[in-house]
Formats: sequence, structure tokens, C-alpha cells
Amino acid sequence: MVTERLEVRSMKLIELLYLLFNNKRFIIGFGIIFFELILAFMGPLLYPVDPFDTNNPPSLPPSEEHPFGTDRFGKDVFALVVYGIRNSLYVGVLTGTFTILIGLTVGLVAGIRGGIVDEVLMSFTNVVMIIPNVLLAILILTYVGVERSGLELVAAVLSITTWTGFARAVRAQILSLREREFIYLSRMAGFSSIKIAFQDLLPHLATFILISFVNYMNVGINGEVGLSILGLTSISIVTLGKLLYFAAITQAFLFGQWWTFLIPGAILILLSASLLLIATAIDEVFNPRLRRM
Amino acid sequence: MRILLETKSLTKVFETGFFKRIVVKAVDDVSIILSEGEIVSLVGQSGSGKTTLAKMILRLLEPTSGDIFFQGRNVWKDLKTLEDFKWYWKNVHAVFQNPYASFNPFYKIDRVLHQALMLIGIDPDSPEGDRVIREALEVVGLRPDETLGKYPHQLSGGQLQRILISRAWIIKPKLLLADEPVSMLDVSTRGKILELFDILRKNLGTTIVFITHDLGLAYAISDRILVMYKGKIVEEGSPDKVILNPEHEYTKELLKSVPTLYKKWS
Amino acid sequence: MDRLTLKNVSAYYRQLIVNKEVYVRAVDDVSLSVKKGEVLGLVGESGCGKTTLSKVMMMNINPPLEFIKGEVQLTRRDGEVIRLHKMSRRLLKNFVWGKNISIVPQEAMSALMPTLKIKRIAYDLVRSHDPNAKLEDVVERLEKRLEELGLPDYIADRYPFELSGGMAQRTVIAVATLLNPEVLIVDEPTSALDVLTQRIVLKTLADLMVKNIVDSMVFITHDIAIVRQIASRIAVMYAGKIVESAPTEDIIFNPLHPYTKGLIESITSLEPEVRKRGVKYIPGQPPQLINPPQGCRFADRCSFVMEKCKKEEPPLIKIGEGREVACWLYVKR
Ligand SMILES: Nc1ncnc2c1ncn2[C@@H]1O[C@H](COP(=O)(O)OP(=O)(O)OP(=O)(O)O)[C@@H](O)[C@H]1O
Ligand SMILES: Nc1ncnc2c1ncn2[C@@H]1O[C@H](COP(=O)(O)OP(=O)(O)OP(=O)(O)O)[C@@H](O)[C@H]1O
Ligand SMILES: [Mg+2]
Ligand SMILES: [Mg+2]
Repeated sequence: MVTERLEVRSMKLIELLYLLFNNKRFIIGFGIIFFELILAFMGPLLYPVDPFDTNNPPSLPPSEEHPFGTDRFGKDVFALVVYGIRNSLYVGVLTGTFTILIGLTVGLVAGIRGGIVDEVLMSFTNVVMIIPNVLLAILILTYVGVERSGLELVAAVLSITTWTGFARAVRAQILSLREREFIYLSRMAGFSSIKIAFQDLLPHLATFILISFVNYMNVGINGEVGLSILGLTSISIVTLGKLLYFAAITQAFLFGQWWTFLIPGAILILLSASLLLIATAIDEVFNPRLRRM
Repeated sequence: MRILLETKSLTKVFETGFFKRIVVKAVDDVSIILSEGEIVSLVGQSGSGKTTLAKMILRLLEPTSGDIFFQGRNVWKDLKTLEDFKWYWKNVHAVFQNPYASFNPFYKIDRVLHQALMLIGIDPDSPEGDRVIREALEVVGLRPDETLGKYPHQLSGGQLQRILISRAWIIKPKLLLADEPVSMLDVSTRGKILELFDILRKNLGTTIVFITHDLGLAYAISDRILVMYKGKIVEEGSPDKVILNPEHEYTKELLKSVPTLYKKWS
Repeated sequence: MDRLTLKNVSAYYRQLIVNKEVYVRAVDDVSLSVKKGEVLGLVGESGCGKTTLSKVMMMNINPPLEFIKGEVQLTRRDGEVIRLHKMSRRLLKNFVWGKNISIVPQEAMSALMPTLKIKRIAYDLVRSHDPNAKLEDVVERLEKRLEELGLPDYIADRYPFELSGGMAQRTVIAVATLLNPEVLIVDEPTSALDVLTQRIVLKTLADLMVKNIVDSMVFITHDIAIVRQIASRIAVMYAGKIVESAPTEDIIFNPLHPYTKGLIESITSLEPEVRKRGVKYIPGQPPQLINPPQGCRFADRCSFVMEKCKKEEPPLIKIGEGREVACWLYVKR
């Protein structure tokens, strides 16, 4: 019961990996991601078809020549999906990175500095929290011009409002760690705040950061879908979300062209689900309470 | 005897609670003088403010009001740069109450000792550093080969506590605040540690503030005893005066609760 | 009647030193029994293996700790004998821990999850035995237990860090005994507390026995003056072994083993007897547990050491009623 908390923390990386690969959720999630990554990176080599080539016959159902068929414009759906996965993952990773970076910086600085810095940063966080994120995204994207905005901007627009919860959680954890004796001992050895943040605090936050990163990747991938559906992202960048968007505006559903939306949709759902599985698995393995109580 | 450290009307007020503000006066108008080379015991009930007082002296917790002077310098107002702080912590160091919380579980225990070496300007990776660490561990009755390279959870509470004492031994500060430093040691090991404090005091003129709830121990080793109650120093004097002729009601109550070996409580 | 019996148990930590695997013999061939209605005090030097022995009593063996040999038996109130060393970890967790045997660990205060309310912690504990337990029932039970132990019932709604040291310690005791285990192990329950609070915690523990909430208790400490207030019998541990066990009064007034003698003489309480002799301690340090010497483990520090002590290990022999000692001085030839 209450005894076992201390023992789990300082495990070796190998042990952790071992535990992770003994976890069913992780294996399933990782398997899916791995498969999709292979598809995204090896796909263009194994299946050298130009996704923007419109010279194929339009609206072909899956066949030997076009495994996922073609769309209304005669583009090869399989080639599109391969590109889409890559771009979707890219926007996910970017969103995850941006969100974590902003949230971590704000949370760490507020938690470590305390006092007036903390109050200012937290008020700022609370203000950002109540900004309607879709509205802000529309404003920024239309201001920049949808045609000129790349995936980087999309990720930035998504991150700019989502980091707040993470920042607050980081700050709360720092506050509970800050008064621990081992922090005092590092301070008394003349360590600067930055050194303490990196050496003493960050390891304690590592699992939380990892889990959040996976979650925010998901936010990025799904957020991009949302923005595509609103027509707020550049048409020339193929993502899974964009494929769904095209299927919708070309009324693929009415024409019974299921391959143009079911396949990218399924892959998108699998991607999100696998990320969630991985996040839960990491939590199970790293969080002693879930692991053992 | 020369004055080493002096606190003037030191007060710390904690405000907690999110909706309803709860105000705790953890340390209340404490003025004490510590001279060079004395062992002073600070005794008192849980929550009486002993640790809070120590943290303020250690420059880890800012006082709500009052001043601390160390060798004439105002600790909270005159020290500004990281170099100043290092100078101060080289001279004023601590052994904390909870050995389990004193180690970052992600690092080997060697780290706290390396930190001590860096503070006094010895390279931890040099043969000199290795020698100093080994000597310090042996002094507290630990075998270096059995101790170094381990993670905190691989050692017992008492062993962790002694590692922290060996850190203080490496630094050899002028003022050592030892917060329940032997709470997890049995009597047959404890004597050795107490002897170390005495050696520090005799050979180097170290001043030691010994925070404890063990009145028997305080009686046996200190030159002076301070009794703290609800944030205030309520009684102060030589051990014989405080233990044998206590004046304050609280001190009397405290003395009554000390467990006795030969008699069992009713 | 024995509640908990340990027969010749050994438990070692497996450790890697410069690419060589070695064993830290933290518990080495220990036999011990705790009787019904008894508080057994377990005292010994820091690092001698007390906490490890408590893990063995629960059979809570986690790598790097390894159970090497021996038997651990627990007799339940209904008379059934369960052999803990034969059970899997899952079985122990679901049917034994918390229910038949429970522990208040040494770092009890930091062992409470800081982000959960006390009632939540209690609920998790109960649910690990009874997946259908309802939160309300557990809370009701917890509040009753808190009240029995003289604690305010609002504690159930608090977070651990909102409690003072003494309160946290007693709360852990309340949670650990929620299911009325036959045996309760408390590891250094008072070392972080001031004398007034120590007294209250001792009272709480004594109440557990008086109110028949637990049947037997193992009280681990390094402070003999504390344990003598509550224990009916004391076992002295040294470097992974039990060197002496006897009724409390005998240990205090007539210690047999030279180590026990040294321990008793080093105590500083405020009594005249003690004041006269000043602070003493036993010079030297215990042997390393990786390669313990072949003879008596105390031989290096013993003032009565004989030739034989360095060669042969003294067996734990019975001397008089309920007294056992492992020392060549007492072996009749
Ligand atoms: N960071 C904090 N925030 C709020 N209150 C605090 C904080 N630190 C200490 N306190 C309160 O200040 C008072 C004094 O605490 P302190 O830790 O100094 O006591 P102590 O004498 O060291 O007790 P113990 O013997 O239990 O260590 C207590 O009431 C405590 O609850
Ligand atoms: N995970 C581990 N790996 C290797 N050795 C260990 C480990 N945990 C404990 N030990 C060693 O086993 C011995 C017994 O430790 P244990 O925690 O049982 O001591 P203890 O008697 O409870 O001491 P204390 O009174 O200080 O709490 C110690 O020498 C310790 O260094
Ligand atoms: Mg304290
Ligand atoms: Mg222990």
C-alpha cells in the first residue's frame, strides 16, 4: 500500500523500456505509430506515385493500380495518405513541442521565481485561458493569409492558446518540490536557479512532460483537422485533415466514394488512438500509484 | 567569546489557504546571539518554529521582518551576488531534518558530497576529492565502498542521515545548524556523531545549533539550551538551569514527557 | 499462541559492484515469533536490517531484495495458518496485506500520496481487497477508526500535507489498521516527533492493542527508552541477525549480550542513573554485510571477545523462560 512509492523512482532507462514493452497498451499504440511512421517515411520510396498528379482517371475505386483508388481530381489516394500522415505527424510534433516549450517556461519561471513574477505570469495565463481559441486562430490565419500559412504557423496558432493548462500544472508541481530539502541542499551548494531547474526539478517532471507531449501532439493533429474543415489552412499542403475536407466539399459521401474519406478517417482515428494509448501506458508505467497500489 | 551570528526580532508569518486566509506566526520576534565555538540546543514541540528559524538563518526563507547579522554583515540585505551566497553557505551550513527528502531520488548519493567539494573549491573528480569524501564517510562510520555509487533508496534512513553529516564535515562551516541530525541513529552510533560535533567545536571553533526534541541529548551535549514554544523563545540558559530548574510551565511539561529507561510510564 | 513466525529466513539485496554481483545480507538466518497479545520491540543499529526484516515479515519482496530461504507463517484469528512465503505477490496484495498484516513504514509521512485526500488513500487500500467497496462505507469506517484513536474525523477530508507530523503519523496508523489486521508492524513511528507527540502516538498504538483492533504488534525502533514503554518483549538485532530476545524488563535490567549491554549503557535519558555515567557509545562500526566475518559479527567491538568468537558463529540458544541469546559467553561447555 503506502510503502512502495520511494522505490520506483530511480529506475534505469532499460528497466523502464522493459516495463513499457511489457505493457499491452504501449505495444498496441507503439505498433500502430510504428506502422504509420514506416508508411510515412518509406511510402514514397516503395510507392513512387506523385500525389499531385491529376492525370489518372478520376474517382476510381481501389484497384490493383491504385490501392486506395483516386479522388475527384484524379489524384492517387494512397500517395495522398502517405503524404498526409507525414504532414499530420509533423504538425502534431510541432504543436507538442511549442506547447510544451511555452508552458514549461512559464510554469518553471513562475514556480521558481515566485512572488510578483509568479503573480504576473499566472494572471497572464488566466487571461490567455479565457481567450476563445478558434476565434484567435481565425483572426491570425486570415490576417496572415491562408494561402501563405504553412504547417508551422498552424502549429503555432494551436499552441498559443493550449499551453495554459500545462503551465499551471508545471507550476503546481514546482511549488510542491521547491520546499523539499534536496533543493535546499543544491541551493546551499551555490547552484543557480537554472542549474537547479535542470538538474533537480526537470527529472521529476519528465514523465509528466512526456505524457503531455503525446497529448498535445494529438491536439495538434486534430486541431489541424478542425482548421482545415473551416478552410483556414493552405490547400497545397496535404494532411489527413485536408483529405477529409476535400472529401466533404466534393460530396464524396453522396457519390459513394467511400475510399476517399473512410481510409484517411480511419488512419487519423488510429493515429489519435495510438497516441492516447501510449500516453496512458507511460502514465501506468511511470506513475507508481497506478502501477502498484 | 566573540559573537558569530545574531538575530534581531526575527519574525516569519505564513499565509496559507486559498479562499480563507490562515495566518501562522511560525517564528515570533526571536532575538538570539550565537557565539563562536558553542553548542546551543534548540528544543521544542513539533511546529514550534525551530526549522523555520533555521531556514531563515540559512538564507533559504525570507523573514517577514527582523534582521540576521553574521560577522557583522546583514545576511538578507548585504549579500547580493551568487559569490556572496556561496561565501555565506561555506560558513553557515545545515543538516536537514528529513534524510529521505534530502536526496534527489534521481541521483546517486555521491552528488551531495560532490556539491560540498565544489563549494569549498575541490574538484570532485580529482584524487584529492576522492580522498576527502572517503575520509568524511569513514568519520561518520560508513564504509565508502559500501556507500558510494548507491541511490538513496538503497540505503537505510540512518545511513542517509550520516551521509548528510559527512557533507557538513567536508564543508566545515563556522556555524552548523543541525536539525534533528541523529533522529534515526541508534544510541550506539549516535555517540560517535556527537563526538564529531565536539571535535569540530574544539579544533575549529565551530558553533553548532543542535535542533532536537531529545532533551536528554540536549542536556548531555550543549553549553546552552533554548526552549521554543509557539514561535517564541520562552526559556534560555545553561543545561543545568533549564533541565533541573525549569521556570516556564511548558518546559516542565516537556520534561515530564521524556521517556525514561528504568521506569515505565503509568 | 504464535501469530507470526519466522523460521530461519534470509533475505539479501542483490547488488552490482564494479560488474560483480554481490549480496548484501541484510537479513541472515533469522528466527523470530510474535505471540498473540504481544508487542515485540525490534531494536538495533542503523542499517542492521530492521526495515528489511519488516519487509520479510510481510513477504513484500521486491528486486533487488531477494528471499533466499526460510518460512514465514501467520496464524489468522480463525485459526487458519497461512504460509506467506508460498504465496504470490498478487495473492498477498489482494488477500493478506492490510487485512492480516499491515505496516506503517519508516517514511510514513512522505509515503502518503500528497495529491490525494486521506479518504481517497483509505479507499484505494480497501478496494485492493474488495473491488466492490463503496466510498461512503470506507469513509464511515475511517471516521470511526479516527475517532477511536482520538483524532478528529474531518481528517478524512484533508490532504496529507495539511496535517502536522504527529497527526500524519497517527493517520497513517488509522489507515493501516482499517481492516483490523492480526499483526501490525510499525517502523520508527516516533523518530521524527517531539516528546509530547511521541507520547500521544505511543498511546494511540497502545489503544490499538487494548481495543483489540490488532492482535500483535512489531515495534521497530532504535530508541529503547521509547519501546520499553510499550513492548512486552524486545529482540535486539545486529548486522542482519537477532542476537538477543527477552522480556522487556530483563533486557533493561539484566542484558546478557555484550552488544545489548552497550546499547543500554549508551542511552541518555534524564534519569539520575544515566546522568552520572554521561554519553557513551560502542566504538567501532558494524561489519559489512556483503562479506560478513565468519565468527560472531560483534566480535570486533566486543570487550569480552574470545578466541572462539572469531572462528565460529554463536548459535541463538535458549536461556531461561522466554530468553534467547547468541553469544559464546553463555554456551555451557
Ligand atoms: N511553507 C510553509 N507554509 C505554511 N506554513 C508553514 C510552512 N512551513 C512551516 N509552516 C508552519 O509553521 C509552523 C512552524 O513549523 P516548523 O517546521 O518551523 O516547526 P518545527 O519546530 O521545526 O517542528 P518539527 O519538530 O515538527 O520539525 C508550523 O505551524 C507549520 O505548519
Ligand atoms: N536496495 C538496496 N540495495 C542494496 N542494499 C540495500 C538496499 N536497501 C537497503 N540496503 C542495505 O541493507 C542494509 C539494511 O537496511 P535497512 O533499511 O533494513 O536498515 P534499518 O535497520 O532499517 O536501518 P535504519 O534504522 O537506519 O532505518 C543496509 O546496510 C542498507 O545499506
Ligand atoms: Mg522541524
Ligand atoms: Mg529502517
